[in-house]
Order: sequence, then structure tokens, then C-alpha cells
Amino acid sequence: MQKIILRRLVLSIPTLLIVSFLIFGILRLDPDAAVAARLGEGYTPEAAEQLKEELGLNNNIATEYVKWLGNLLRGDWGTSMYSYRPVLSEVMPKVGVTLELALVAVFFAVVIGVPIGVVSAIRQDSWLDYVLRGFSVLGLSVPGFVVATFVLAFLAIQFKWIPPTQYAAPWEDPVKNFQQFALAGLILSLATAASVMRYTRTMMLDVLRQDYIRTAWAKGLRERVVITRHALKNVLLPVITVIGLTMATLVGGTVIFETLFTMNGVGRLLIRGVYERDYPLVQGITLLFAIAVVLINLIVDISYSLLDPRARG
Amino acid sequence: MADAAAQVVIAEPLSRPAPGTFGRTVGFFRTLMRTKPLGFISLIIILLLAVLAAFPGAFATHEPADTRAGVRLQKYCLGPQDTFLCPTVVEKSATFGDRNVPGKLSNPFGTDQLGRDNYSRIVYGARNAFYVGVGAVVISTALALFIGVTSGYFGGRYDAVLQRLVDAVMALPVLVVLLAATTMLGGATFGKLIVLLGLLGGFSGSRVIRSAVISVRSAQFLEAARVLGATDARIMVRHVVPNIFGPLMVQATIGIGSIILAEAALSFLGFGVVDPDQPTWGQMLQISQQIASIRPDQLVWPGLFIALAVFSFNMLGDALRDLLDPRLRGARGSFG
Repeated sequence: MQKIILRRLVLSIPTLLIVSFLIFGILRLDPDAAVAARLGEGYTPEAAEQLKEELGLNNNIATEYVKWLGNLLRGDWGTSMYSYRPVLSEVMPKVGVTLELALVAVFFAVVIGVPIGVVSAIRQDSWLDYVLRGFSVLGLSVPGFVVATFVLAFLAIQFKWIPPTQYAAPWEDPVKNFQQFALAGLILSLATAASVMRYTRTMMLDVLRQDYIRTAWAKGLRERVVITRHALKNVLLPVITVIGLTMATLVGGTVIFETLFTMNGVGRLLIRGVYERDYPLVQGITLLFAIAVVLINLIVDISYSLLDPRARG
Repeated sequence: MADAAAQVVIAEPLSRPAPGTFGRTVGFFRTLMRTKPLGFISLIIILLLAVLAAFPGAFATHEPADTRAGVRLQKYCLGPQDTFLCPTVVEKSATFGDRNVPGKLSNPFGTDQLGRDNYSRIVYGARNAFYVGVGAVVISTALALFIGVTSGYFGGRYDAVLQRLVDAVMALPVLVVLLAATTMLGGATFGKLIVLLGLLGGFSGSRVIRSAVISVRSAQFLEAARVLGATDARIMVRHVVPNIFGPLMVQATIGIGSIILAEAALSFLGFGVVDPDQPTWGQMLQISQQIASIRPDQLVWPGLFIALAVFSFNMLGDALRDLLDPRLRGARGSFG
């Protein structure tokens, strides 16, 4: 078991190195454009030269990368060009909001996706199945930000309700926290919920045709017991991998949803960074998101092999 | 008389000739229509949008950037004036008094807050959506094909190294990378978006191609070709690629949908291509969103078209998966 965890950990090191190099390299693809965009119109060559020096764009890319990587590992992620504070201390206080949003979305995805998938499978080809599958097609196709825009406009007009802007921790003001995260998390989860639903349905149909399920029926067990005790156990396992696979999309979605619902998270900080052309901040946040996705997939892989003895080969 | 005898022979052939490429194509669409009605409808929608995209000038009633296309914020007008098909808006103003803004048939989807014609902007938006979508998919398909085929065919250390690179690109959330990369490259242009989305899609799409290649790698016809002395390059091009055509088409179709979606998301955040002559659906949604609490109807058109395009490409991709790629049948559940 420890060997598997160790092997997966070792495999994710080159992935993270390549990710960091890609993020580092983009800024150096076209240094002149980056400098020009930052300085705006009518800048002097001296100012451009100074900015290039400041960003280390004049030096050899390999030495700069090693230096940058070394600093990263020591916890120095650069300094924001907007607030002149270290990138890490800008980002870290906001991680909680983004994390909570993502967790709420995953929670809804499972709570909505799994039961609907199960019902759809055990009533295969009934009208209920068609209706539920129709909803999942809609969930996959209609972009979350379109749904969210409509819902927010409707709530603002009908109930004069706009999402609260000041963050309230769940242990301080649970009601306000719920107001902030429930709706955003629910709409953000729709696409993932739809994937989870489709996958659960397919797996369930597969499992229900297996011999041990027939044995359970033959023993005279009730439907509820057959489904929940026997079938569901083998269905839920692969569903974990679907959640891992959709994580990158979900994490990207938090950027839009934090902006729409005015949440003070990392995603919205990224938008500020992009707006201010704060390159160190943008690099740092992109790297953080990528690390998060790699870590989540690592956890998914490990928990999969923990839960399923067959996957330990 | 001899002619009549010849006709009889022609009218009753002994066996039906094997269908040519054209016959097979027609047969395929017939199968699509019969077995996957939803996929067939999606194909029709895509073709209609493609016609709009190809000839926007023929369909648009105004120039997309024309701020005198109508009075500001007209409502839709799809029929005779002052009916439910073409309502009149009463614009309330404390200083100038109330003012009636009737709909006009030349602005079927109404106008935005700058007085530009929504319908024409949707039409030109279709052109830009297809331009980015198809352009990026061409790059991503070529890249996915190259990585997937060589990686799956050769395997070994080459595969192991390349797959770490694929892992890395797949760990990058598309929207976040788009935001970061367009900023660091000095702002978004359609060209940059096509290349970026093409590269991102190519790496992640190569996984499916690779596993399809691995599943045919040990097939006997490849062994036969090898015994006959075919080179690796020849085997890959002549024998492997035709056998993974199905998953390739499915990937490309679904890819266009997700690229249109990614571009719309970027524009919606306000960091897409900023050019009044080049409207995009995402940008229209962003402009509408600013006044959504006063005029929510403005959200409908861009929202509808983004959803329609993404929906159609997804549904067509699903239908193609079921028809072209029996191995994956039911992998994501089958629809329509």
C-alpha cells in the first residue's frame, strides 16, 4: 500500500515540474508584448527596459527558471506588482472561500447525481428515465455561467435579492454563509452532477446484470436492500474517478462563479491580477490551481486503490 | 426491341453494387436520422449555424458595430408591431418624461444599450464562434493524432515521457490558463485563442486516441503489414489511423463545443477579444449582464445561442460515438 502511494507521489513530481515550467515560460514567449501591455500606451524605452530587468526577462531562461523554482520551494512566490505584498500572503487568506465553494459544488454533484443516476437505472427506459436523462443532457450543455446569470437576474427582479458580499465563515454566521455558497455551489455543480448521473446510471445498469445481484434477488431480498447494500457499493467506487476528472473544469468554474456571486476568493483575485496585469500574482494563482488539480487526482487515485483491492496491482 | 431487352437487364441487376463513398455517406446520415433523432436534429442546427457563420453579410440586417441600427434597448420584434410578437417598451425617465420605444422588424432580436442590432451581432458572433471553434479543433486534432498515435504505437520510454507532459497540460484548468496566458501574451486575439485552445485540447484529447491505438496495436493485420516489410510510418498512417477514425471524429465534434464554451466564458469575464466589429456571444452576454436587473430579456439571445451550439455539438458527438465507435457505446450513457 505504501509502495503505491509512494509511486503515485513520485509520478506527480515531473508533472508538477512541467506545469511550473509551462506557467513560467508563457511570460517569456513574447516579453515585449507583456511589457507593452503592462505599461500601457506611450511608455519610454527606459521604462520598458527597467520592467524587463525587474521581471528577469533579460536573463537566460534556464537560470531564471531554476531561481524561480528555488524561491517557490522556499515559500517565496514573488511580489504582487499591484499591492507590493508577497503573492502567497495575498492568496492564502482567500483559499478558504474557493475551497468551500468547490467542496459545496462536489457535495451537490454527488447528492444530486448519484440518486438520480440510480433511479434512472432501475427504471430504465421508463418516462422517468427519459425525463431525468433529458435534465442531465441540459446540465451538460447549458453553461453554468449562463444559468447563474439568469437566476441572479430573476432573484434581483423578483425578490430584490443579491448575494451578500462580505464573507461570513460558517461557524460565525451560518445563515449568511449558506446564502453565499448554497446557490453558487448548486449551479456550479450542475455540469459535474450531470456527468456523475450519467456515469452512475451506466455503472448501475452494468452491475445490476451481474450474477451476485441475481443471487440477492433470488434470496428474496427487498429492492431497497439489493440496490443500496449490494449494487451501490460497486457503483460508487468508479464515480469517485469521475469527480477527479471533472475537478479541473470545476476549479476553472470557481473563477467565473466567484466573480458573478462577488465572493472574495482566489478566482476573483486572479481576475484582479489579470485586470492589473500583475504577472507574479497571475503566475502564482495559476500554479496554485494546477497544484490543486494534481493533488486532488492523487488523492482520488490513492483512495481508489485503498477502497478497491483489485486496483492495487 | 433490343433496347427494351437491355433495359430489363439493367432494371434487375443480379446483386446490388457496393456503395461508393457518396452512397455510404448518404447511408450514414439515414442511419443517424433513424437511430439518433436528437443527434440528427443537432446536425441540422449545426449546419444552420454554419451557414450563418459562412455568410454573415447575407443574413445580418446591420453592421455589427453600427450604433444607429435602432433606438437603444428595443425589445424583440418577430411579427406585427404592438402584438406579443413585437412589444413596445415604455422607457421611464424623470427628466425627459416617459417615452415609447416600439420594436422594429429590422431589429428582430432588439437592440443593446448602445443601439446595436442584437440579431446582426448574433450572426457575426456565429462566425467568430465557428472561426475559433473550427480553427482550434483543426490544431487540436492534428496534435492529438500525432501524440496519441506515436505514443500508443511506440510505447516504452517515449510514451512515458510524453504522457507526463500530457498529465501536466491536463492539470491546467482551461479557463485559468486562458486568462493567465492571454494576459501574459499582451491581450487576447482570435489567433492566440485558436493556438492556445488548440494546444490545450490537443494534449488532453491525445489520451483517448492513445488508448484507441493501444487497442489495435497488437491486431493481426498490423503484424501482417510488418511481416510484409512496411515501415513504422507506413503502418501508422495506412493501418492505425484509419482504424481510430471513429474516436477522432467524436473528439473533434465534442471539442468544437467545449472550445466555443471556453471562448464564451473568457469573453463573459471581459477578457476575450475586444473589438466592436467582432462581437462574440460571450461578450454579448457580458454586456447584457450589466443591465440584467432592468432588462433581463437582453440575456436571452446570447445565452440561447451559446447553449444551443454547445448542446448541438455535444449531442452530435454522442450520436457519432454510438454509431462510429462501438467500443465506447454506453460509456457515457447513450442519448437520443
